[in-house]
Amino acid sequence: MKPEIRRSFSIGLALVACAAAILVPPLAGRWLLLLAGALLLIETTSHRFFASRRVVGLGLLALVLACGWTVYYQPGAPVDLFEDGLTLGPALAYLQGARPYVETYPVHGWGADGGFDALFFRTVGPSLQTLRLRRAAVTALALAALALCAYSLFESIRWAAVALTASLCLCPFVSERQALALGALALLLRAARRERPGLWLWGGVLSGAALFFSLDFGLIALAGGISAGLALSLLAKRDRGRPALCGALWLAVGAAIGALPFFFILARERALGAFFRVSFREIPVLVSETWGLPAGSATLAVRETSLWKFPALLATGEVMPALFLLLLLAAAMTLLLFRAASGPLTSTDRAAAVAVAFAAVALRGLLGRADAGHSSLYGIFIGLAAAWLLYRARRRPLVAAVLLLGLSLRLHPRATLLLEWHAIQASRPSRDALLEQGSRVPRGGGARLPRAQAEELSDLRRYFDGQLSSRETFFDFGNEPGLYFFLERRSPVRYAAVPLYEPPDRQQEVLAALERDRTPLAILSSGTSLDAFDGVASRRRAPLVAAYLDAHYSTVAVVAGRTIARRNPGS
Amino acid sequence: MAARRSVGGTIGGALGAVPLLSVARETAGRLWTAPALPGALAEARDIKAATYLEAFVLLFLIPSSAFFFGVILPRWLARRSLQGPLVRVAPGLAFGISFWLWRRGVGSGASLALASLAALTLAATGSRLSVFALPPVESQEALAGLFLSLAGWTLACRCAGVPFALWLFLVACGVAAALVRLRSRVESWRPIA
Repeated sequence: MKPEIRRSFSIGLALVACAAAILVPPLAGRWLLLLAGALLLIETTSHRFFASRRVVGLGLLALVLACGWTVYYQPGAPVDLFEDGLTLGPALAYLQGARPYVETYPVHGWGADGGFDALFFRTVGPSLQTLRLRRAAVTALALAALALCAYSLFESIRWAAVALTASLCLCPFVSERQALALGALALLLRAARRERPGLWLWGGVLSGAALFFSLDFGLIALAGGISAGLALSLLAKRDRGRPALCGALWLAVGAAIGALPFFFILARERALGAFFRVSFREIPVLVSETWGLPAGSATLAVRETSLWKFPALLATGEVMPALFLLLLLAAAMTLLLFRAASGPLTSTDRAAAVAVAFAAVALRGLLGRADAGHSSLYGIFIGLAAAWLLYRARRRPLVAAVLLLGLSLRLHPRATLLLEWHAIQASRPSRDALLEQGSRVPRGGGARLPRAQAEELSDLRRYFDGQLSSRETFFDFGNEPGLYFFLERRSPVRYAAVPLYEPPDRQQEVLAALERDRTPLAILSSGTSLDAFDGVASRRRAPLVAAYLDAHYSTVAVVAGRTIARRNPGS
Repeated sequence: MAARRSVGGTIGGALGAVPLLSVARETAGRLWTAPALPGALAEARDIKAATYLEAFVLLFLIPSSAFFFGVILPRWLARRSLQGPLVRVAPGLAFGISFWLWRRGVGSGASLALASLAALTLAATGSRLSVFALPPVESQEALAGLFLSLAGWTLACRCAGVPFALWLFLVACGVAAALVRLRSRVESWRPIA
């Protein structure tokens, strides 16, 4: 073996040792760090520094994965009875034999809303710990996929670091729902760079599968990939005057292959029609209307602001918080057009076209529910486009300086890097402290909850077990679907939260279910902000259901802040 | 190839298309209604389609306009006439006026129409003339005199309460007439060019 290759492996090995040191207990970690330090020392003191990009890249990927795991695995954190409940509730329903899209209503996607967890619940056992382990693993993979995207865009570790930082500035903590779409994006970026049909195909397979894990991100991957593939093949045809590889076609074939197993399962469950109806007809309309938040007006921002105040408006995000990101993307789009006009696109430009297409398609989510969380969730793709703009401006100092200044003012890279740094280094002590102070709950597995929350859940469980037989259940009007999981009761309706059954016909469906089951108990309110999403009370969102509850149920107790009502005798 | 790009035209083209944001919002207001189901959008009477259309304008129409005035038109003009930089940049800059008009309160449709007319006139003239064909200004004194006269005339218009759009229309007519006159004067040069 050549000495260069040996040394190259030594740096990779050092990085893997660092990654392992993050994961293992501190005592073993110290030995690993010693080993890593020794390897790095050998590497840096050798007469000629040499490191293979691929080996270093793989080592860095392992490090990113380890960092992701340590940040996202928090078995003692509080449970969000709404957000986590959207997964836990339906997962329990699937365990009890519910059919997806017929007896559940997965708004984020079949896999993300319980489908994936039901698989693990069947094998490992239904517990909060199973969810947390699974979620931490998938989220760490999402972070690694983001790092891969950053690398695939430039195929340079230096610029990958810039792209990863820019993406983290927009989305400091990735979500598990992004995992498959980011994986698909990494493959498509590489496919666009290298013009390899196989990579387009695999990107398609992941995009197709993503549709069933997280619907919106699957759609982003499919639409972004297909539009970029079409544009790139048109440009290639023009530049070379011959039929070009149609990436979009390969992607579509791959998506069909990726989706096929899920279609088969849904067809077997007689839920294929429901999947199409719910995913492509009902949810796009419903989510926009009931979950949407105003994004502000670009017209107002541009027309009414004096020009000298405009940069400040962009930096602060007043009037329209997403305007800066929109302008950034518009600049990337313009630059792409100009690059395409001045001759064949370079490999980095071709990859940038894919990144820009993803970011453009993701704007629907970013502008749909225009809050900070969703801005992070969907704005993550814009980070790659921003990094590409910087890359293109690198030889024009003035443009680069202006761009860098603008990006720094809005994205705060230093603060983001510090935040990530603290999150990684504080994760283990925080995890240990939470576990030590936390309490066990039924169905928690090895996971714990903060004492107050655990007591709340125990009180509720005690009350409901005392009031209901093992076959009876309750109806939750407080938007806490997680309670069905912790109280081990099935949901009488397929909707996890009030905004999902706002249309009158769906309210009637809920009433029919309550009437059919004669559900003995109902939680009228959770006593938290969940009773009024976006400041609109559940009673206003679903007035028919509220009226039914008023007419047929009487308040009997307030347990752990939840107002509980019992069905009136004879009604 | 790169030399045939026009930075001024690009900026003008991009700025000129900005009033399309208004057009997008107004169109959405006509075609869609605020959500009927309760929620934050219904409370704010916000039409999401208007936001999406604005994003479409920002992402596709403004870059396309910048590309048209920054690359396509300058190339076309360069093919048809001599290599005058002003000829290539003028239509884009003229189109950029729509941004200024729009911000001054002129309706988006009117500002876009006026600016498009000005850009079209300049492009049509530019396709036949090169800036080098314009008669040379004899001296800086003469140029200063011309600008001062225009400023004085503008001031008089403002004092007389002439509407801004009418003033602009008159200026555009004056410019168009001057260009037509110039064109007739250099018509005899064309076989040589």
